[in-house]
Amino acid sequence: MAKTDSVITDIEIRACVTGRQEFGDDWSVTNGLNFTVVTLTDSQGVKGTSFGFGALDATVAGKAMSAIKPFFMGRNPFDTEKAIKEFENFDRKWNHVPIYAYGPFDNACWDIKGKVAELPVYKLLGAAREEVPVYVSSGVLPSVEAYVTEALEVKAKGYRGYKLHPPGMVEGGKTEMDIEAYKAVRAAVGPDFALMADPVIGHNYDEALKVGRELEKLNFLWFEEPVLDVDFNSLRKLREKLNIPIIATEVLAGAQYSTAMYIKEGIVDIVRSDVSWRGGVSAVMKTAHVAEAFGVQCELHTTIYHALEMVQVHASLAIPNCHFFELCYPTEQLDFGTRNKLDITNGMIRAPKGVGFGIEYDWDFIDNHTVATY
Amino acid sequence: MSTVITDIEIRSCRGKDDLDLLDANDAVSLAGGNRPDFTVVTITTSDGITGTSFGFGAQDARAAAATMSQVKPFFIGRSPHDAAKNMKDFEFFDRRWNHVPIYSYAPFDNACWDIVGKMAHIPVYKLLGAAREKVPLYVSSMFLSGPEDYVKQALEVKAKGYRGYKLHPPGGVDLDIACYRAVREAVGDDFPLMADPVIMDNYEAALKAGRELERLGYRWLEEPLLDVNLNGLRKLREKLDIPICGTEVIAGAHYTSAHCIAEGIVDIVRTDVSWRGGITAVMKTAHMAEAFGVQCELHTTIYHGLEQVQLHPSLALPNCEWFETLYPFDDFLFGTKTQLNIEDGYVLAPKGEGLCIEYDWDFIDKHTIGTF
Repeated sequence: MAKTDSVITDIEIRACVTGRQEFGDDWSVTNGLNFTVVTLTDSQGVKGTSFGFGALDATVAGKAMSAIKPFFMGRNPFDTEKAIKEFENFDRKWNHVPIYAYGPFDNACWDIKGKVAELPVYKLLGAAREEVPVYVSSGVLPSVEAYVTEALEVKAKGYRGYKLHPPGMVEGGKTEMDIEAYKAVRAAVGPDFALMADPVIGHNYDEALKVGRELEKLNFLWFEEPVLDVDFNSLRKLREKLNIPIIATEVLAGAQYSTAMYIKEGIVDIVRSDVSWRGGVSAVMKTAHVAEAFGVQCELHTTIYHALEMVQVHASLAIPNCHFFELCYPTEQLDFGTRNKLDITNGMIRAPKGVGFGIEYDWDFIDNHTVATY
Repeated sequence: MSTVITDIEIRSCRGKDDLDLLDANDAVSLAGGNRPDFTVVTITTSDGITGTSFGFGAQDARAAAATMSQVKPFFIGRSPHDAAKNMKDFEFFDRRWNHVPIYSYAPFDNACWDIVGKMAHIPVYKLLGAAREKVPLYVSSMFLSGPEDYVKQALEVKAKGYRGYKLHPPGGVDLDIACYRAVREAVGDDFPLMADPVIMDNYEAALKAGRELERLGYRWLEEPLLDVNLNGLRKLREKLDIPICGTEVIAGAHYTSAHCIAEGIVDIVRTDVSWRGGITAVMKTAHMAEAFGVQCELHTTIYHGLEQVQLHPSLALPNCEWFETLYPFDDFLFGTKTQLNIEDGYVLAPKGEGLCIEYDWDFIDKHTIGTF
């Protein structure tokens, strides 16, 4: 029997909460976070596991994922391309799962593949490098001073860049406040430290243009999701006007298909994808390959949880047209559910040691925080 | 107008009488013969007015309703009259961080319209601004086996006076073409026929089918490729004379449809009050299409409980020619005491106020498997 002669015989989907989640307008997370954990077991007894998105209620996200379970039962975990193609039809008639539901299943297949091959997944994908520079992204902070303090702390820790989620995105239309924060942070960290701006649909076109011009003067690296991902017309106008790269597509449905069109139609300069919201490792690789062929960067979006960032680092290491690795800051709040930790030295992240994803899950922690199983 | 939403009930309902029966892989064949799962959203206001809409049930209504439960806290305390504000604010709410499926928002929006109409004592289509009092009906097959099945059904449909017939062909371009030909031959040259293969194997197969459909005088070729296969769709639209019709499952409602029109990706756009944001979003999409001189043909909402909702925007859209229902009706005809009023192949405007639907709560109670 060949090593690849196996089928998926069992699937477990866990809905988990680290505590009661209070998730305010400012994206502050108090008490806890919702997440999901998908484990596939194949007929040779090999297990693959991936964290998944928990939305605002992990039991809802877990339910949404449960619609995919019957699709994967009996499939060969090595046939990820067959699965992603056939899922188009399965989902079309009639599931329509949310954008984050498929990713963990595909990821878990890759974990199995790596374990059976006795290789880390990034080597199976084809490594492009052994380490990736990390930038960290702020939450929405209460004052300009808070951004400055955090940026200096981040720089001192050796991270390679800092992205602001500016205050105006909560206040709505307070572009002056955003610009003030951008200016103060640039003044504090000096002219060369990498800075990015991500107002997350905080603007309309007119405001975004004004803010973009300021960011150009301040030498920011990119201007991210200034308007809704599906507001193509505004995005394209911004991209045509501004010199600062416009970067988006992390929440766009349709993974590699829609991203291809965004590149072809000149809607953004840089595309985004991640292994949680945009289809898993397989879809991320497709998306990155499309972008590469067009000479476009594909900068991976944070997957939030460190357990999932450890999946994403494999894809990241295999993509030559992705410069950075993103983590939410402060990092401690998202570091749970694994015994091994993100391997970051001098602002550079490396893959965990071991085969598959190389993740040692902390099953005690996961057991203690599981609220439902599907 | 100080009315606010004070209570929301979301029911997950199993279509089948055996409430434990679920086989997703079987259901995905869409061969017919089973009542599908559905959801029912009821909104109550501070004045005690209730508005109700069926919603999509996916393959497991418990999963669909769970995703809708994330929309519930958003609507509590909001005004049912502020449809545009609600829809705009929801963009932010969903982005940070919900990402509900395409079908989750609509039943809430529809239920709000039901309330608005009831409070005004006016049917919703008149509130929207009626464009007509009846709509020609075409019916769509399920996925059948071969030419004989489609021929038999097409003749039956024509004899019943419906105004057109759409094939969901079995798959495989040569078998599909055989079905298209046999049906055209059976119904004669003038009876409106449409083709909806729902994502064929590839662009080349779609081009081949399209050329044949042109020769056979079909009205349109629908969803020949995945809705997000924008490049493939545009090439087809550029090559073929037969209109390419798409966008019923593409996320982003009016935004994405605008792009598909502006970029010449399809000739005719599609939307519906179930999968693409509810009545408010359907009206936005249709108005945008109208300004581009593009038809917006409404896609079936599957359940007749929801088709009775869709009838309202359909009557208010000058750039939508048809009303679509799946055929035969049996699998989808449940849960309401009122029914579509079909006469001589036209669906007639409903009587009453709001959405003008009287629900069969006994049936709904018996099939409810969960409540949020």
